[in-house]
Amino acid sequence: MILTVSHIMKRFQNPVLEDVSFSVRKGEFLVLFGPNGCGKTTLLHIIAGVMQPDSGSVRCPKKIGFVFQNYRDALFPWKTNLENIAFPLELQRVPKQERLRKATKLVEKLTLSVPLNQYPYQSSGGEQQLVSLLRELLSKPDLLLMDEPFSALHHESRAYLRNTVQDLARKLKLTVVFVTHDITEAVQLGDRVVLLNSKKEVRVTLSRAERVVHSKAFQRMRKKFEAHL
Amino acid sequence: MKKVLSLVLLLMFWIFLTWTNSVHPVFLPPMHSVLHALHDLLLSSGLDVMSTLGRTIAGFLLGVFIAVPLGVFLGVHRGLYNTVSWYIDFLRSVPVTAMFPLFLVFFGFGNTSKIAMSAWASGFILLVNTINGVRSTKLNRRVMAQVKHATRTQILTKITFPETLPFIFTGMKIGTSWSLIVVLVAEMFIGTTHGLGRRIYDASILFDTPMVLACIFIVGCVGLVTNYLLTLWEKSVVHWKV
Ligand SMILES: Nc1ncnc2c1ncn2[C@@H]1O[C@H](COP(=O)(O)OP(=O)(O)OP(=O)(O)O)[C@@H](O)[C@H]1O
Ligand SMILES: [Mg+2]
Repeated sequence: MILTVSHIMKRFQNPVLEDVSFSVRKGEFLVLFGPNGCGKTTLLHIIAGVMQPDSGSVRCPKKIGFVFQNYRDALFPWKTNLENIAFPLELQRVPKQERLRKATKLVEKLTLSVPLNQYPYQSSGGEQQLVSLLRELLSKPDLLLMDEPFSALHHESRAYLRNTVQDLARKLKLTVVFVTHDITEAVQLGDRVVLLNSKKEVRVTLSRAERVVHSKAFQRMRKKFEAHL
Repeated sequence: MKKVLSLVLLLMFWIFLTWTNSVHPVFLPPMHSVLHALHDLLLSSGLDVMSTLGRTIAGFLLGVFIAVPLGVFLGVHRGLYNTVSWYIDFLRSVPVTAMFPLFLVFFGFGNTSKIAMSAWASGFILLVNTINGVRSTKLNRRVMAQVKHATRTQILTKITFPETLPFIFTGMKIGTSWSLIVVLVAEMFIGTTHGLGRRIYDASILFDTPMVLACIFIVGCVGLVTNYLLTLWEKSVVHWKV
């Protein structure tokens, strides 16, 4: 198990997380599903170690990536998209030329089209979210946390990025914890879905080919999933 | 083009009024006498202009160098800020002109107290702006860096400070005008051998309206130019906001 979350409790004014436990295998794509305000972001913050739980424990790898819901608050507007992607290497004091070269290489390797020399505010929402995803991938995280990364995007870019993440996760054998309250997203991406409210788990038994929204199997899985809500 | 035309019309109106003697020259002197005073001011007493400008810049820079680091520090340490915010709010509510006597006691009648007052005035504006800027920085950016094991210094210099820059620039633009105002007032009331404030004061006692207008013109130009330069600088640095 690359991530083990055991009996997490957290309350602010009201209890938010009550006895949350689950674990994630290496290479697994886990979806955390729950309605607004049920504590999904709080849980990710606790996993990432930037917030302490009241009780319970987390075992988590050192190198994690974090993709946020609001890409506007996550990228640096004073840096170009390329410099944003290279930021993790800047923290490791890699010289500028070298880190920009490495960032460019990553984008080329993944054959994604990103306006590298534009600033984030000159790029579309989808492009910006892709940039913040690439920034996290550059540091080759052992675990990638994604907090409703597409919910602030338009419909088309949402579908495009969903497919991109699906491809990348497979190609790069990523281990992902993906938060969402979108059923389509959960079913298309997840190997397993943890329902935070009812603490149930749903295994998504779809093959690669069946993970397209219009397939019969997909719709059946979706129905089965809805039955658990 | 319209701007130039409106200026020409305004000047012609001025000439017309003085030509026909419809206004007493104490209220509106003829243009040539103002130009003459301006010429005087710039050639024979360029020192006045330079003194005022020098004090303003010195005070403003002093304000920046004290207030910006202090503001970042207080903005980051919220607990400390909550304890001292009360004092800051009180002190910035007292017009610095009311504190002239204190500055005189501490810094004497020379340049030091004028510069200190001007630093105080712009410093408080910058302090408040910087603190607000730091406090409005986005949590997600810091979380992202923390997850990557960034040091506190890295977060401060690579994230918090650049994110605060738009607020600092706003503070600087308001701060420069306050520095100028306070220097002028200080020159008028504390006195000085050279300085536009003193010039205005002396001229007004003698009802030398051309000189008053010439001084006002210079002060206006100084204000306009500083604001223009700061705006240019702002546009190149915080390009994402403007
Ligand atoms: N730092 C905090 N202080 C106080 N209350 C908080 C804090 N962070 C979160 N909360 C509260 O905890 C609850 C869960 O918040 P959280 O952001 O984790 O929910 P979420 O599931 O991510 O919601 P959303 O779907 O809107 O993103 C909310 O009621 C929120 O008001
Ligand atoms: Mg959330």
